[in-house]
Amino acid sequence: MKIDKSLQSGSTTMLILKLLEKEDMYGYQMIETLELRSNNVFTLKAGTLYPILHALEQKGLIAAYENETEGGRKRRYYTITEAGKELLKEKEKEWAAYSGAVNKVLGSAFARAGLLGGI
Amino acid sequence: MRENEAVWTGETDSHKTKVRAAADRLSAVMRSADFWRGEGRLLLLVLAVSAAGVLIQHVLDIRLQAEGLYNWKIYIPIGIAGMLALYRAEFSLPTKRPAVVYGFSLLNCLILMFFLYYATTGDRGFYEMYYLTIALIPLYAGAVFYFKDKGTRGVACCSALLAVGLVPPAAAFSLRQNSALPGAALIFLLTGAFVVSDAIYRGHFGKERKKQLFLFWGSGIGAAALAWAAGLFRWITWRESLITRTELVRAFIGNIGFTRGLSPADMEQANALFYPAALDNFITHLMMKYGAWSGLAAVLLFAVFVYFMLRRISGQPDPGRRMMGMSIAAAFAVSGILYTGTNLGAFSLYGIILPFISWGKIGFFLSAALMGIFLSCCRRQSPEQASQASEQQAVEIQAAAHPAAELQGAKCHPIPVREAFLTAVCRQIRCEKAHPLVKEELESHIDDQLEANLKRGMALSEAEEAAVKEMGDPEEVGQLLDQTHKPKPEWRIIALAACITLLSGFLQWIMNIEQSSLVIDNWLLYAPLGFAVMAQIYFLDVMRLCRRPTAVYLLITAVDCLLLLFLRYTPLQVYWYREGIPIYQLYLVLLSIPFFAAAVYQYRGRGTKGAAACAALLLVGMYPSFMAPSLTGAVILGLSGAALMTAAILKGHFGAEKKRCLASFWGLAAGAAAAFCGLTALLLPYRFQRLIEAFFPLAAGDPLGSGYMPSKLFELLSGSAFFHGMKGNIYSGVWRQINENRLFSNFYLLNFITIKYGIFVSLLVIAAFIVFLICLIKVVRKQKNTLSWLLCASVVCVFGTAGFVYVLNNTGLVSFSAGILPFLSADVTGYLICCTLLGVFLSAGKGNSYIRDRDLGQGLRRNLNRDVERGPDEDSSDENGSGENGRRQRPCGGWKLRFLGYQLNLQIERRAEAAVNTEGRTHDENR
Repeated sequence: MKIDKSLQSGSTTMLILKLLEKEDMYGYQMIETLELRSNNVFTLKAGTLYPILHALEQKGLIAAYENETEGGRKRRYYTITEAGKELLKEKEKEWAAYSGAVNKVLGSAFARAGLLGGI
Repeated sequence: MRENEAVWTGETDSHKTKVRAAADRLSAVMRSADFWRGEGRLLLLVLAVSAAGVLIQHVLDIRLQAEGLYNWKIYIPIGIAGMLALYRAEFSLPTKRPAVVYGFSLLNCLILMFFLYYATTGDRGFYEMYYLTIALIPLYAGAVFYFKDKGTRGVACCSALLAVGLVPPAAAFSLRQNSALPGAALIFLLTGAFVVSDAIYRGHFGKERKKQLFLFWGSGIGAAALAWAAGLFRWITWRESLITRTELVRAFIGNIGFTRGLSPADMEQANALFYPAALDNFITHLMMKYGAWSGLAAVLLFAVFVYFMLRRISGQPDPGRRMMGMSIAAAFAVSGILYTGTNLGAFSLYGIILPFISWGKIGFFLSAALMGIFLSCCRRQSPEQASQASEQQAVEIQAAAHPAAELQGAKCHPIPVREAFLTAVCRQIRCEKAHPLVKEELESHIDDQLEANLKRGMALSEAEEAAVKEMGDPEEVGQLLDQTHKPKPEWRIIALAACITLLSGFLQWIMNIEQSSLVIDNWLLYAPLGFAVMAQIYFLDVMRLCRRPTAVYLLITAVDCLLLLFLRYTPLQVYWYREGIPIYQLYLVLLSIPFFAAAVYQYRGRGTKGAAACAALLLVGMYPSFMAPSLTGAVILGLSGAALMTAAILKGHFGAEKKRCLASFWGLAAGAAAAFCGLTALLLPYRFQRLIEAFFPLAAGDPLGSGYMPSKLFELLSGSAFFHGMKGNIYSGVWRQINENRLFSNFYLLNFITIKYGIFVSLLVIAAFIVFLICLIKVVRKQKNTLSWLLCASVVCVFGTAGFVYVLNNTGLVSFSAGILPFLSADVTGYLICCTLLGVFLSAGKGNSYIRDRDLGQGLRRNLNRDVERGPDEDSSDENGSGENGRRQRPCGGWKLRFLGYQLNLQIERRAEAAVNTEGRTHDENR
């Protein structure tokens, strides 16, 4: 199912931080993991991901280091910092409040629609 | 060491080899037939015109005025050599930021002018503003080229830039009425108008030519009318004597015939009136002596020369080169017209030169330099260069037009889609130093995607195209990344510096200490000037400027020693010593410290030996300060260097053996200090005594001799109240004493504040300075690459130690030579030095916290020997046979070949097959 981009854009930072909370990742891995976990709902383009990652790094929310793969390639891994973890907590709370409120509104609307349908 | 420098600068050849190679290339160019069909002829013409100039000046015997002519045997070869050197250099337009270069050149002109105004008297030095204005012309052409396809907006910007270009000569004229400046302004204005009109005519700004022409000339004429109404044109006919001179010229010229000059009686009169004969009425003199034909011949010779210049440049296919070359040819033509007009009595624009015919030393060098640039602009590209350029252009056009669609259709295109994508992304990112990181990361992502696509069973080219397509629109990606990597000035630091400068002005105002020579007496002028200097240094790439830091550091030290040795015994010492204090020596030391920091960077990872080498450098740098003697300079350099080194060692800059490195550095430094003290005590006991007195003036100094000032300062301080200054009789007594002894000085600003307002206010001033330092330290801590960190830290160390020494000096606890409290208490030069250092700080720390150390090295190396870097990659691909078909290979690492495995081999086989088939087909067709 395709999701409206504006819905996703507000939460991308939170999703990236959440991914990095579990383990350090490189860009491609993040996109793959995000797709996998969201059943292909969140398809992030690389062109969107890297500017966000670089901005987060400049803000000190994540840090980067380089690691060599078995093939001798250098990959840039990202790891979450303490400041990033704190922000993630805040964002999660914010999201819980927001989604709860949306669900409540939608839930009551659905309920009313069901009632009307019954009449 | 040499190897390290090579890494730093990216140079692998020695200087001699390079010079030889450049000379070989030049001789190869000059041997070619093309050269003699084009630029060679012009070069010969330049020589002919210069020879004519020398000859005419010789027969007119105006050598006294034309000091260049005295040494023409030296100046002409130097000028021609410079011209050839510039001819060899590539003036490829568009340069990266011509508008910025133009703007900064203007700013430089203004700064120089203010310095000249305050440093010289009379017209001395102001004539050079004429040359600077002329030198701006090709830069202006570059700026015009930058506004390509920008339509009427571009034309408006060009008009504005043209108007701005008139500011330096106009401002200079308002300060000193030098007769050359109106001429310079007019040459600049007319040439600029010609360049823009020509550009509009050739459709440089876009299609609506009539509208653009109307806008340009309409606004120009409108502005001129306004200026006329405002009375700005008065300065063209500003001096009665010039008008009289013009009328005299007209009168004398009316008396000459075509083949005969003035009669002996008239000639005598003319000589009396026109003596001394000068370069700016050179043709008048020629005609008065030999008749009209001689002047006509000289003008004709110059006209032929300019005609050939215009003819040659108008055939240049490259629009950028043509525009720049055309501007120079037009400047020569306009100079010629105005010069001839003035000599015939039509205008009163005295002071301008006729390039290559009537010149002084700087005039000839300027003309030669402009001619060198002109010849370089005339040069047609070789077919090989042209093909490379067109290929590059194709990549850019392909990437810029509409990437996704183009990339889809680029299946058989020789330019790899990946390269096009990365180039398009990087084109949007203005911070060049971020390019390697971005490219590397995006390329790694494309490789991951490519690998996944190959696993899904796609063919190599298809997989690569799909991988690049997945990345998104390169322009969008580039713009987003540009936002992240945009250099961000530390506004907080700039604001703090401004506040502290304001505080300094306020303090000097309320303390009323403008009588001293070491005070910012024109604070309102120098404060903005200081910030202009800071802005200049900020926009310069300081990291690149520090290419040979050790050499520059040692050079500064050597210059310092030489000045101390020679200036002291000459009348010039007044420039070096102010009130008996070698203050400029201190400033040289302050300026050398960032270079020391960059030298420390060179010794990274060199362990104990590196630390010892840095200690040795530091000691060498301290030597002139002891020679001066300026203990403040020595202590500031010593303390800053030691603090910087200790911090660098603790950061692991010299390697893991931190303790050993510390021991090495401090051991050598302390050993040398002990040896110095010991030797001084043994050999120069008097000096040793002075040293002791300087460090412990209260205990060891003679209260009536060397310890007088410190003991007085200490006495005053201990007698001061905390919240208020001295009262009544005591205050007026002390103040009178200070006034009578002319003790007002910025060196003791804190002391005077304490006397007048109490210790608390002094402490507040110190607190403001400390807050400033803390903010600087915060920025230093953010730096990620080592060179930025070292440069920023060095500036903080300089400010910190200078402040520390200043406060100690003010309390009377030590008695070093005079120092400065950065930004708060310094003379004009000191303030500008502080601004320079803060500019270095801001430039080193600007938005490049994202640049890695290795990118820094690569960045410097990349431009110089890109081909050398590519070599091994290409070799590796050749080993696999892919180079056989003669196609240009995208540089790719060995790892890629390993992981692509059989797919790549398959691809190579297919290509080889295709090549064989094509060859076979061509062979058949030929039959």
